[in-house]
Amino acid sequence: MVLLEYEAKDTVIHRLNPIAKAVWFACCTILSTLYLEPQPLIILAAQIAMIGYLSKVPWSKLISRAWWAYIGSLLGGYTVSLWITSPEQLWRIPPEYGCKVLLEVTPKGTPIIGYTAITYAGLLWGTTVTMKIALAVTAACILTYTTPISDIVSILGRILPYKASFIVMTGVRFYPVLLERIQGIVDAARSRGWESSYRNPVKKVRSLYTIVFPSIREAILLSERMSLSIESRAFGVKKPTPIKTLALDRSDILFITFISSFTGLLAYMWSVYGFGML
Amino acid sequence: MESMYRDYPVILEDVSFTYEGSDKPALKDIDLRIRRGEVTAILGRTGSGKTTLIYVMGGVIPNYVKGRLRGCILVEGLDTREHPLYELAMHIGVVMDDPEAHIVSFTVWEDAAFGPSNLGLPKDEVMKRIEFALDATRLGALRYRNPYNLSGGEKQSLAIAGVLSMMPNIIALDEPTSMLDPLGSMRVLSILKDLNKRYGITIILSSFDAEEAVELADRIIVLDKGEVVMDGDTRDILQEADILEKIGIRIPDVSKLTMKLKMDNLWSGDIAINIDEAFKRIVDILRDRRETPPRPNPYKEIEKPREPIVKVRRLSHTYPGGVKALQDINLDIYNGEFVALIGQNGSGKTTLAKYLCGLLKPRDRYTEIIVDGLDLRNARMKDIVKKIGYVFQIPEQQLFFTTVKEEIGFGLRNLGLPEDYIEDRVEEIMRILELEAYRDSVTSSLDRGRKFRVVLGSVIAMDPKIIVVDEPTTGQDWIESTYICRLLDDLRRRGKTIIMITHEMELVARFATRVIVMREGRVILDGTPRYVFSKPEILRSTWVQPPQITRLSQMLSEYGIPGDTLSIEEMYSYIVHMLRGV
Repeated sequence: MVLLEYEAKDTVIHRLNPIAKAVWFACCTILSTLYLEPQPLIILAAQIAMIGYLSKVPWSKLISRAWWAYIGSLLGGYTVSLWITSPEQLWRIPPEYGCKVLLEVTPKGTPIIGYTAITYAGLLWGTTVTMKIALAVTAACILTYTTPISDIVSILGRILPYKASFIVMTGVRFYPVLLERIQGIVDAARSRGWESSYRNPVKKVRSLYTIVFPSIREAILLSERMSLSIESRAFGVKKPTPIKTLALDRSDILFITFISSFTGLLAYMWSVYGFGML
Repeated sequence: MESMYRDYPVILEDVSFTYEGSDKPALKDIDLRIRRGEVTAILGRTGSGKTTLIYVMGGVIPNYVKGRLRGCILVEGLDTREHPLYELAMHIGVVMDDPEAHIVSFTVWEDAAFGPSNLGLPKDEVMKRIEFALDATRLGALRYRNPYNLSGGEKQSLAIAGVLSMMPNIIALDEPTSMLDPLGSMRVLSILKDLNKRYGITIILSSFDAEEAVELADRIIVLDKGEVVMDGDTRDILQEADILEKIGIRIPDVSKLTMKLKMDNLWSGDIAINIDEAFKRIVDILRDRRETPPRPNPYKEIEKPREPIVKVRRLSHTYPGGVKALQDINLDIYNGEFVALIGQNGSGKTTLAKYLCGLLKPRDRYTEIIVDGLDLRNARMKDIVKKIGYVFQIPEQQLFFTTVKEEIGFGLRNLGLPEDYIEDRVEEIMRILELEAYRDSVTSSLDRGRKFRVVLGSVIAMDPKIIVVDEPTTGQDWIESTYICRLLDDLRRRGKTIIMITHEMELVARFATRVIVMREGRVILDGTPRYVFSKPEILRSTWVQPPQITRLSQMLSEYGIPGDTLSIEEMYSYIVHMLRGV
């Protein structure tokens, strides 16, 4: 699990209405998508860090959960950056500076891969992409840490049709149950000498097939039984009664106003002055 | 007609049902009327048709499960064939044995709200129903908890709350306690009792266990091969204890004892159906006693060979979130022992077993786990499985292949053994487990008992010296449970060491040579069954109850019966000795 689980705490952020936190998360996502330069992302990072601090998020736990997302974005970002070698790709960077080759990785004409090199522009782009993904993941962790999953789903329920949001909710709800049962299947196989750590890919796929069959069977059985349960509890018969009120109070409105203004301002600077474009 | 529905909310007339793709009817010519406000227990062996009958009554058949249904089924006057499942659910709620399949929400209260909110009822009404359902199932204090983090008994209570919020007058439960530990079972049974007594809800439940039925039910219906073979008041049905036993239904120890005494003209009148009744009557009988029976040497130490086959030192385990599953475990297990590992769910039994089988590796450098001379810290799984085999709890989740033969050969193929050796070994195992007739049968089509045997066969085929079995009797009827234990005992006699995790104290008393009791990750008692069961006050702290016959002997100890009696035969011989002096 990459994200943090909800922990009931009495912090300013925990007390906020889930809608306010969802707006904050949406703003963070918009800003991290817009910006292609590290400087504005640093401002965004500071803002996310402040929210994290106010919500008393356990940073070490967050890092231990999300480390592979951070490492993945780092590796992915810098790998793709090797192809950023021509001045047209990043129009705001002076070509003589942006495409200055620091190290040629593969020469021109290399089959399939083509020409790749480490350039200043590429490094800048790789750093930005890594930051964008890391910030989005961190914001998501803070959201799930401060907001019960049921509240997140009930917000989804207001955006999506009921059945679609129910599918999302059921998916999230069944993830740990199914994971536990699949772990049981894997343990049972291991206790009969099964292993999957083959180097040969054919052997690896064959060994995984052994686990896939009972796992799928288990998932089908569980969903069949669950479908009986929801059918007998009148799922889809009528428009369901909303049982949670998500009314905003003054602090929620203030928070939303502040976050929206902050996002609006940065977005305005981006569109009018090209702030944060590479 | 109206008054008939008022008295009998469930009426079945000449009902037969055959599942799609099967030729054999699962139910045959059932005629039943369930009285309002009554608790009815449906007893029968695995495959006798209990679940099918519950599904037919609840309208799951034919609305959800398809097949050939004949006859008339009326629930509160509604023909189940003509009304959708949700409409029937407002009259009869069906609770399955797997509570996790019922749970759809992230908090307890939202789960209870799922049904009524789907009906589009006004919010006030939904809230009222949530309160009622949570109050009746004692989940009020847990309302904001994630259902995933509840105990087994609490999850089953939530499943009941989920159907209860639809406000049915009848609740039908399919083996509601079969997957639970004693604490969970007690919780669920007492909730059902409450629902019946306080709210007048008609309860129908299926079970393997007459002891459970006695505790709760006014009426017992016995099913055998899809037919109703007995139907009557609980007391009357229990008087036919010998027939019940022949059918394969587990009857209370006290009923068996009094039946035996009655056959010897030492007991007159009705067979006792519960422990209090047996106690009062035996006290009356013992007034005429002649002498006190000789007391066996109760606390004889287990004869321990020199070297343990399993050695555990300084083993602790903490799960993420800080739950201490094991705390400084030091343990020796000796060759040829039949060890029963008992304690309530979450006491650390399964975690310990996983360490013994190499599925968890010790992280602390001072921890030592040696199994038959193999240090598990750095051992490869392929080497571990040759020493110790692990049979998990639910056989269905451990079947990887289509046929019995393939399944039993699974472990051997993983060990890379020659094909002709595998063939011979599989044949040998099938012979030992009496599975020869099922050689090419599809594993998923077998009954639960045979599925377990196949899984066990797949493990013992690798010839490990130690076999760990995790709750092998869960969901098995009494005959199959006894068969499994006899099989394990037979393996022990052939030189294997058995470690069995279980909640079945009668089987522990009968088969185990040693009992280890765990609580909160620690071993709190360790000794022979006689020694362990003679410490009811310690066992109580783990919600473990000694077998019924031992509890009776403890109640009778001031009248001269040794308080650590383990079997009916023993108790019978004491009583006979006291009355006849032989």
